[in-house]
Amino acid sequence: MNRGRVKVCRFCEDKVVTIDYKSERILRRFVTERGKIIPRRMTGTCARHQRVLMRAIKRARHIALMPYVADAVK
Amino acid sequence: MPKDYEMTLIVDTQLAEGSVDETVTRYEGLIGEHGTLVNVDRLGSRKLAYDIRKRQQGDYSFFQFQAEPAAISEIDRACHLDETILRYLIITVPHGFEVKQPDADATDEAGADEAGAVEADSDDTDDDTEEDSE
Repeated sequence: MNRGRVKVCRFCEDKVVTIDYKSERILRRFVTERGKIIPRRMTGTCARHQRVLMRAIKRARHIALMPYVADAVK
Repeated sequence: MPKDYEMTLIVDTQLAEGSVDETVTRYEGLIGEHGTLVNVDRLGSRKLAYDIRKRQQGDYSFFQFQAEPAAISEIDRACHLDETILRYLIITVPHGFEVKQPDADATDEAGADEAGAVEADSDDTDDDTEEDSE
């Protein structure tokens, strides 16, 4: 993932309205290997989509599609 | 006025041995009593991202339905009391039933950028694939 380089919000680019909590593949890109949500300043996501994304990630965590805390493999 | 809902059910595959289908059918019935069932998506058995009640596997099903908001507490209560349900989630669908299917997302997004494509390809296997991208 390109961190540090500020980009346009990916969801805005694709004109995404909702982010599905079941679409684990997409969500995976917005969390660290530890499972923490990557801040907006790193991913370039706009405020609105970050909020939608956050909700999706938290839902995905609740139904065990994504970890709350993942073991970092060294 | 009925609202659009989506329910995720994780059935304990060990407790509900062989009767996972039965459990799902039971909840289809329950939803039918309280509203109208639109669609059921069976994802099947899947590894949980973390243990729930010492289980590492669970059977996922997604129910899309319409119901009166008052009926949700009934469904919620039924899920809560059911021991064969490891975890459940009931949400309102904000813009009607246009929630994308997981597979559709994968194909859409795979070509979007290289980093994503690599991850998407290997993602099916397990949690430990994500490390590559970091």
